[in-house]
Amino acid sequence: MTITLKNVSFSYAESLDDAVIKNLNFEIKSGECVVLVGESGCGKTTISKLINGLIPLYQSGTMAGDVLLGDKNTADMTLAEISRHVGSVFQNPRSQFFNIDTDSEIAFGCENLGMDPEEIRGRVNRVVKEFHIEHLAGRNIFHLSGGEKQKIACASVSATDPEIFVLDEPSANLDLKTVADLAEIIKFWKSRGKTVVIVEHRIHYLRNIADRICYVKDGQIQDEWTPTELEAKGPEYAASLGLRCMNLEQLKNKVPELAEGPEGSKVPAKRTLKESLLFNNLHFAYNRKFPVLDIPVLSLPRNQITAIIGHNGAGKSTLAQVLCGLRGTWRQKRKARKYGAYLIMQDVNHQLFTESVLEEVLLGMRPQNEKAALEILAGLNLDQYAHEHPMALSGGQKQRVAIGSGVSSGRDIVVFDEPTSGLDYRQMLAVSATLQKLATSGKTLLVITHDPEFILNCCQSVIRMEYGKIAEQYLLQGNQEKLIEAMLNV
Amino acid sequence: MDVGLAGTLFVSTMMLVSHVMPISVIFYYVMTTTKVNEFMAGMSKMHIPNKVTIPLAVMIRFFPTVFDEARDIGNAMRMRGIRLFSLRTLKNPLAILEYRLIPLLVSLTKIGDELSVAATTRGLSPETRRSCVVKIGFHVQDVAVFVYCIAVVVLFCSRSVT
Repeated sequence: MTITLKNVSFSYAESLDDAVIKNLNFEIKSGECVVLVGESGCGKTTISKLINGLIPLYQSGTMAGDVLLGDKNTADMTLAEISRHVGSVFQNPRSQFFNIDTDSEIAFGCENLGMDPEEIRGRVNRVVKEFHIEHLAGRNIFHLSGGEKQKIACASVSATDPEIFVLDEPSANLDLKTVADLAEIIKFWKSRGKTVVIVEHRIHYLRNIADRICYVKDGQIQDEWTPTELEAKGPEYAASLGLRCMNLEQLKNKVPELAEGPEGSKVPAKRTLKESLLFNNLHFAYNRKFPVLDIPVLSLPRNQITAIIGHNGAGKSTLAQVLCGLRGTWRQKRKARKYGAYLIMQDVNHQLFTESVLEEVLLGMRPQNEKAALEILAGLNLDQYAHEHPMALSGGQKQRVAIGSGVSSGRDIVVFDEPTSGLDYRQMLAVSATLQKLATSGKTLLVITHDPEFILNCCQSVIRMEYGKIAEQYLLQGNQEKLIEAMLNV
Repeated sequence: MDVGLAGTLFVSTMMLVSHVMPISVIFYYVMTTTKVNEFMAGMSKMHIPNKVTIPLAVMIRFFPTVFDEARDIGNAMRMRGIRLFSLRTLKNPLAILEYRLIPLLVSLTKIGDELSVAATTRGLSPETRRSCVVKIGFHVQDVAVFVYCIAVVVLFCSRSVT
């Protein structure tokens, strides 16, 4: 089924003056796999919403022009009708399932279409086989990992057998291994002659799948390449447009853009007791036989940024929680309070409570000192927002407010949980810069991440975890190749 | 009989527990064992319109989310050194409520919105008639339980009257 956008303009406001999409003409042929890339706020998600009918049928705003699915105009259809032809997968795995158990979830779309129960059962079994998710059948979705949830979402959409698939940043919350599984799923759809439209920042996994990569800027398609063309232009070219790297292998020789980092980044630090922080006996288990975390000694280079990599379920988050005193025995927790690690969560909305940015920083401060708080905010380029409500800020600013609250709590170690998930290249650089500044100001940073570009830009050493243990720990300098290999083969 | 202040407090707490406990137990049981699609199928068998069923179904789906989010927020608060029972919170109990509720409401609104987007793009709408994989019906077992419950209620009422 062909998708045609004719002279489409759209604005989230009441007039078309500041439109997100301006006079867009765009055609996606049947069976094509098209990737929309571009910096945050360029309008690529809006294009995906135009295709799955959320605009104009769900989202309020002003629209001009026509979107045709085959020869039908989406404006004349209902969302239920469109859902027969277009299946959508979204970014956040937590908020896109409607049922509590996996089986009902996969059947959900078919049930909504009023299909015959026998037919639905057949389809569910077929999809489970096609996606190799037999081990997920009959499970509670709340107990699944993000990657598993995303697979269920894909399976559920696939069960209704639509001609078009629209995916909005499906990989944002996934590790590289799950991303590879996602690539397999998209490849499978493509082999069945389906049309696939993907909005994405991380594009490396689509290297062998995508037919076209369309660069969206200011609500227009500004440029278009095949994956091979974009790869040939190199990661520097992609970075200049604010795009992520097309081929991770190319990063092996890349020089970090933020070379003027803290002193320690150039001279590899000697691991002596003075220069590293040592932690003993980091253990955690739900059950004696299967420890989730089993680290006898952890040494963190002081005032440096250390990345923790490893696949989902390797114990990275548990390590962070034990270090921050959120999990473990009361003795571990008491110890954690003493040496103090502060966690910046992946969803920073969870840790902003108060009515103003300044109050947020003051809250954890003992004794409270407004002048010192303002200094912290100035260091994070937030001084002009001191009296704004934290929830009114952008994602990146919110993250910096959370960092500010961590700094003001006086804890020396700051742990980040996936600080760059779903960010474009420039936002990722901004986060790297903030982290480096924090490290120079005397904090020791630990970053859980699946983002190799980010690690190469700002981390000094890497810890790879496996089955709750530290598999290896090395300095990044000179080991870039090893890192990329490890991340690609997790 | 004079039981003193402590005794009165104890008795009234126990009264509260014994009255609230059955309700919460039933609530917990219903929420954890009812599958959303079974619930929707049952409701549509009873000819209750989708406009009523869908919001109720969303509610079942939403409870585990509320607990998940609340736990994350509680963790964040603990890191800031704000605990539920401390000198500071006793001085200002309203602030603690605010700190807990604001982030919870913000993230729940966001999740609620994303959830309804996901459900509508997958064809859930009040106008169309759904089918259901699970067979739901009113059988002998249901009649038996129904009769039993009514009998208990009648017995209880008649005893408390006499």
